[in-house]
Amino acid sequence: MKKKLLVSLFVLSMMVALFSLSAAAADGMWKLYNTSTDFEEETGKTLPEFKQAPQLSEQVSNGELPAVGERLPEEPVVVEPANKIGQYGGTWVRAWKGLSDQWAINKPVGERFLTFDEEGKVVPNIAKSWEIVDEGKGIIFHLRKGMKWSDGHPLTADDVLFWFNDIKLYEKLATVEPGPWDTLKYGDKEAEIKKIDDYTFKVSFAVDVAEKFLDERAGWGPTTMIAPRHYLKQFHDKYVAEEKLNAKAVEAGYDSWIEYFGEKVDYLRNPDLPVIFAWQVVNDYSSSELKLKRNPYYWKVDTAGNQLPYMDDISALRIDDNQVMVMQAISGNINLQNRHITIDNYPLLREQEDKGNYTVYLYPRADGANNALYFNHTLEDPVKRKLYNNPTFKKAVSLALNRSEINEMFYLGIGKPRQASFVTNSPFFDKEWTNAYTEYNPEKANQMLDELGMERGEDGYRLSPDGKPFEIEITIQSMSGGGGGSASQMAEVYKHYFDEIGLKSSIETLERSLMEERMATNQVDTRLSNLGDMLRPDKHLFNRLVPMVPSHAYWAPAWAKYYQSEGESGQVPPADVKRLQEIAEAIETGPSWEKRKELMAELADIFKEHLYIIGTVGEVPTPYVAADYMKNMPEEILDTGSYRNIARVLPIQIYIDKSAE
Amino acid sequence: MASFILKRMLNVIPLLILITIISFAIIQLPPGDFISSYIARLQQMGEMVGPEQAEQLRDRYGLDQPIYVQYFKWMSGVLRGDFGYSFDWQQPVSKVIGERLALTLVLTLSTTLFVWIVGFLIGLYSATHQYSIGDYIVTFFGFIGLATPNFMLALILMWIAYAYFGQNVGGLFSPEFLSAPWSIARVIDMLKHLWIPVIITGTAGTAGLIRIFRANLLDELGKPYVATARAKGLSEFKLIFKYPVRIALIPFVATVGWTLPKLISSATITSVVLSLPTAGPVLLKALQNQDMFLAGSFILLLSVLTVVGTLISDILLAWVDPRISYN
Repeated sequence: MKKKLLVSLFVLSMMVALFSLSAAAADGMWKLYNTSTDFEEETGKTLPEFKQAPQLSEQVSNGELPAVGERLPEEPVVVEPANKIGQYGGTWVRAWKGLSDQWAINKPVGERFLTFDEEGKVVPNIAKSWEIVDEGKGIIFHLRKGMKWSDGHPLTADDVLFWFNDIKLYEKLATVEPGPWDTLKYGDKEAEIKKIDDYTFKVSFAVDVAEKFLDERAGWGPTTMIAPRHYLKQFHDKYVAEEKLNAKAVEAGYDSWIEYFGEKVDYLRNPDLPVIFAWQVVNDYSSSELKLKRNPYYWKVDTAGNQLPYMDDISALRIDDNQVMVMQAISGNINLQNRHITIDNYPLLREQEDKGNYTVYLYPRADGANNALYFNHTLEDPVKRKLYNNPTFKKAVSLALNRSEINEMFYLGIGKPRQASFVTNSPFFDKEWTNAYTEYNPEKANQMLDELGMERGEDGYRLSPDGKPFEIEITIQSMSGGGGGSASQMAEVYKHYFDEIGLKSSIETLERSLMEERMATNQVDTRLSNLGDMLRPDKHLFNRLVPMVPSHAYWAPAWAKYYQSEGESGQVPPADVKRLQEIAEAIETGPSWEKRKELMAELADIFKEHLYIIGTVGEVPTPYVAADYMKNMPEEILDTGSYRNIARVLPIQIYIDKSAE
Repeated sequence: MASFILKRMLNVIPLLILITIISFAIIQLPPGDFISSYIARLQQMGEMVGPEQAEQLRDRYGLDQPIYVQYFKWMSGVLRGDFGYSFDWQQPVSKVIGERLALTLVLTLSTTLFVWIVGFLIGLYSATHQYSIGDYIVTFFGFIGLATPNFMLALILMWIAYAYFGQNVGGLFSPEFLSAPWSIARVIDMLKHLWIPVIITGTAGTAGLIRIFRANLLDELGKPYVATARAKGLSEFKLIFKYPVRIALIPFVATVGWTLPKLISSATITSVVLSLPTAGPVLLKALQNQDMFLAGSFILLLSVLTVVGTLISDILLAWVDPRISYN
């Protein structure tokens, strides 16, 4: 009887646990409609009359602001929230580390010229639509009529031209951020932008890169392709005499107008800069709390006609220590955070979940390998170089690594044991590559090394094929965690696996600057590091994957040097690596989707064969900590830099449920 | 005495110049510069910067010039009161340091007072009650206090405060006062938060001072003049305070020299852990990021304070301790 009671109690508690799990579960996915017309056509519903936040209604009735209908563009973007229509109000409290951590603000707040929809397709954002013309060598963009900057000034094609001609291409401003961070250069020729009318402009290229261009306007890079001409003109030497500007700059503590302009064009450093973001900065970024408030002219509405965003303010607390950040999340002082919260905090976060009234969302990440081994294929030492270039050697090493053990030890078992390859969610995912030589088979590894002629010496460690002592130097960068546990703990584990197949190894920890110096001079033997996003073929991916930039080509700095110096220095790469470089170049020109798939399949084949990079565990999810009163959190998003991580939860549609607060 | 002070002050000037040269060189010593560390941080967060952009940035910040040119440019600015520009903060150095100086001073001064008062009282008790139960207890905690790193204590206290009191310990202000302008309410709010960092950063210092004070006082208490005075019937209170305490206080005075630079750099790691808006974490970051004008200015400031502090403690010692001669 007693036993039965216990059992039923157990079952009951399980049910409660399950129920509470589902109660805390997230709410599906948001959906974007490019314009109000699109929304009405697609759903058959009519968009109700526009509404606004109570504080804005007050300002309208005071005469400080025009009515909401006049502030919105003729055809605003319509957002269907992830779960339901939200309520206005509240503050989103986050943590950041100051200006060097500016992406902590850029990501949630920034807007791209184009964006990704709920399925990851490139769709209009600031631009309302586009047409590809001239066989892919030109694109005509249409802006949203009636869209306004945060000071109420209309946004037109002049703002695009100003951004392009007077900032981007303006020689004197070449060093001003965020100008140089991305480029419109294709086929070695800068693109051209021509105004057609106030709301239409055309971008032309020397080569057929239209699709790639569109991709990039949604993906990486901070620029929005627009700058508020009406405001910035007063700080630009094309519009105001240079002496006058320099005098002003000196007064503000700068050497010349160029740096002064650099401050004025940066929304974080200059609260007066008109923006098109949902929130705008209101105070000095160097204070302990950076504050942002709602932009009354924001140009997106929800399906009930409410002008977004729902939350009134953002408050970014300056916290330098990651552990303190976790603490603040647990104690509920910050209410939605992913940045700087790593997977090793997950058990602690889950443990305190009920008490802390927050929910931890584990969103999958697009990291192809959270840690991977990069044997240097271009080492000066000829014996080692030959060995590292031998696919059999790398395959043997790969077989000797116990991936599920690493996963358990450092990633709580929630990562995926895999090779360093495209992630599962990627359109270029290659199952064969992902699984290549990932089983744990030290016997076979030993046998393969035996066949390579690496005999064991007196101490039981293998000698190099020419009979000399052999040692692998595992090099890690100090202070760089790989998610769970420090890099040095991980290196110890790799050393252990090497021991098991008789390969002698040592661990070298280098401070960052020293590591860079050694990388640049081709002195790093074998690097243990992560790989980064393996989602779509872009510049960032190729820099890591293919030796083209010496500081990034961990597995072949000298081949990258050869490539970069166009043959003047470095080492001549073999045919397979040359082919990889050609593939990267071919992708640069923006070929069609089919062609891209084809090229990526070829790249996968080359990698499968040579195993340049040996990945162990990847796709480790990221914990997003959200207070329980933060509503409309999507059920699942892909946490990747291409989607700008936190931006993918679509903060403008998140609302604070006051009854749950 | 006056000529002694003057001579010491004249010595200070070449010393400071030397310190700035050496510190500037040391900041430059590690391979790479601010731009490479900046790019590395961007990369760690998944952003990208190409080599051309890096060169442009170097050009913009003058990092491509030889080190002595950079040094003279900076020094000539310093003499005019311009400490240069912090790359990392994108602000003039004086602004970055200035904003944090006031809070740092408040925190360090209160900590120093706390350390001195508590150290003095407990040390006195401990020495006059040698080998009593009270002495043992105090000694026990003194050793633990000495041996525990401050940041560790900070972490433990933070956890206890959260786990048992549901309180949040980080920072010097409540959220509603964080970016508020100064007001009486804000000062009161700060005082409410201040005691925790004061205790945490003061523990090791207090424990150290207790040990030093106790040992010195015990030395003095055993001396014949104390026995003589006691035999002559001097009251115990007067006996201890008139001579032995005065001698035993010398270490307090001698540490003044180190207290001044601590005003800026003290408790860096504790400050990082507790997210205190003080100068220590800024200095640490500046050094890590090779933000050289900020780091250089900090080091200059620290050296000036060390030198001035040493001068003050020399003068005080000369005044307190009649055994010191001026030659």
